[in-house]
Amino acid sequence: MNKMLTVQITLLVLIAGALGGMLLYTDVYDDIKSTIVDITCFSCIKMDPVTRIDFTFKTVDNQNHPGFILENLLEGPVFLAFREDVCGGCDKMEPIIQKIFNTYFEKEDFVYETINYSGTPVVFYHISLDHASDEMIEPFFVYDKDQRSGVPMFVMITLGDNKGQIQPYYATAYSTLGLEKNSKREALMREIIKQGIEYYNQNQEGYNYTV
Amino acid sequence: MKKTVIYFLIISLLIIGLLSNSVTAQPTVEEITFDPSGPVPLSTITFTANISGDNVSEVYITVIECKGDLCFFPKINESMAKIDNDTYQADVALNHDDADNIGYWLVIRSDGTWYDFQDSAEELDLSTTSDNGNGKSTNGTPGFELILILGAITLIMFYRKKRE
Amino acid sequence: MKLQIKRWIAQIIFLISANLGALGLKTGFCYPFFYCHSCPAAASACPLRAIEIGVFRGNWNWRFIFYPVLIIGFVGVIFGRAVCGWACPIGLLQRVTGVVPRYLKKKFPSIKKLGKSKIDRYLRYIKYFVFIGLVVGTTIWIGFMFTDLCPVGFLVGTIPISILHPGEYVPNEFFYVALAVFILFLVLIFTVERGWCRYFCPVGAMLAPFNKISLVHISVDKSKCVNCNICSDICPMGIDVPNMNRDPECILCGKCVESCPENLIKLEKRYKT
Repeated sequence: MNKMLTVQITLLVLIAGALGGMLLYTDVYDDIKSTIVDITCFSCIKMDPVTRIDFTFKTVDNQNHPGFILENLLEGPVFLAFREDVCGGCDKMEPIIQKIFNTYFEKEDFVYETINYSGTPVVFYHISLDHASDEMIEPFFVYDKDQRSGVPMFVMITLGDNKGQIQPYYATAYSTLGLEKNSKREALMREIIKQGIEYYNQNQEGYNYTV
Repeated sequence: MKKTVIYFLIISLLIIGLLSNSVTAQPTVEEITFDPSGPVPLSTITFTANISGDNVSEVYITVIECKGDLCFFPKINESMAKIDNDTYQADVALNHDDADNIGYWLVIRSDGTWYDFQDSAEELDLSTTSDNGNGKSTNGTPGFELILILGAITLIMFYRKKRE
Repeated sequence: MKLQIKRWIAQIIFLISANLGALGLKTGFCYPFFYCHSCPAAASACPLRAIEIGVFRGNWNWRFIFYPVLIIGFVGVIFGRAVCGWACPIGLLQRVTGVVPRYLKKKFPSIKKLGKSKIDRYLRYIKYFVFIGLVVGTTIWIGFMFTDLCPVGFLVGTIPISILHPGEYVPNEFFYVALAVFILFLVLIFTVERGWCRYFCPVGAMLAPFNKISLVHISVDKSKCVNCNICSDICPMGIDVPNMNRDPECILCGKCVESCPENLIKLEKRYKT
């Protein structure tokens, strides 16, 4: 028999058998589909998705806004920074928050301060889930928009126009904001605060809350 | 002169004795071991701690689960049972399927005082299945054994043809 | 029907079938040719990506390594490197851009001389280094992958996605280097006919050895050759056709078959040696 033909047929049978075996008995087809074809390959397109933060009116499970938040909104937009004692991401973000708000505190400290952020008063809270009171921990569950139950968690609560009614409007950011560099994290954080202030200035007049 | 020296020595010994007492009053964590050695998310880890110190009344182990820079709330606090003179053990069940590392440390009550060892917290990476494979074991891969067998046959055939 | 027209049809059919993802068809196959799954319309996965994931930083996922190799092997044993000539969309691209180097070759005979020089022969080995070095090697030990720079990913992935989703993406660390590689790629395919296939294509590197044993191959009856050299001139891969015997560079396009005035070259579909 022709030597070349032998090689060709043998190889063909080998490969077809192995390939058929792989397709039938392993989940390589599904794996390839789900891990390569179905997803957007960021390294292949050499681009990363832009991290977006969205404002919303809807709280988790439609819980009520805590009274002290509604009260503080009379003064200015409210910024909440939650952390736990032992938390790598919290340690990374803490200096950035301290720099942005020009205030210093230890990780266990409860901070409640009205900060002058470029002319606008922003009510700043730093809440440690390990040390703060239940009343201060409550907003952690109300504003955990993506329901991650994780720290660090940052909430920018401002005012928005919900079909004629001025209501609390908030955005939640988690962890290191999906960014690798401190400069980018600071820039995104400032962007969120700037948005919050803009919304607040637009809607402040229509906000009615009686203590 | 001799009497003053003896008095001085006795008093120093007493003071040293008192001091060493208060020094040993703070318990020390000798070692914390865990099993299994490469835990996966949602598994149960058995922590064994060696603690030296007198009057240790309660020992808790605190575990925090994290995914990258995001750490989950609330932490796990498990009471540890005394299984030996200085050894305490607890089973900790992890709760988050997307956690990729945990931090753990002890909180010990000795002589009525709580000592929190979170400053010397240790970290442990969880073995997650690689983000490519799904961890499903391939139940039999006839394809590969087939390659080897048929490859061997091909080689044998080749050598036979060569000799002819 | 003329062979070249059949080839156009085949190439267009494969181009469309590679992009059936636009109609919602997403499969778990690997392309046996060079195309990128980051194309929004892609229906299958790039074989190189599957291999890279299989060896990434020593994470030996054997299924991901064998699967694309077996697919390419299966196609290779039957068709050899005809995949390059008849199916690969990048081959189609170079067929279209190939008119420019052909024109340059006619106008500047010095370029023709360069093509026949020894350098060209040695440059052909680069694609094997690209495959073993960048696709397999650096992925195992460093984690850097060929697909981080791949110009085809740039062409069919980055550009369409930037157009379809403006403002939703920012360049990552490899973007500008990949852009430079892409520009070089464009320069290459407009100056050297099938330049990518000749010198750099890692999938071509995988398919090339199969030419030696493939069922479909080109046979030349050298004994009756009149040395007119029309076949070598017209060959897009710059092969010395009369002297070739299952050359690993041959993409089985059939141009030599049609151009030989003595009809000495045949596209064999049977098992003759």
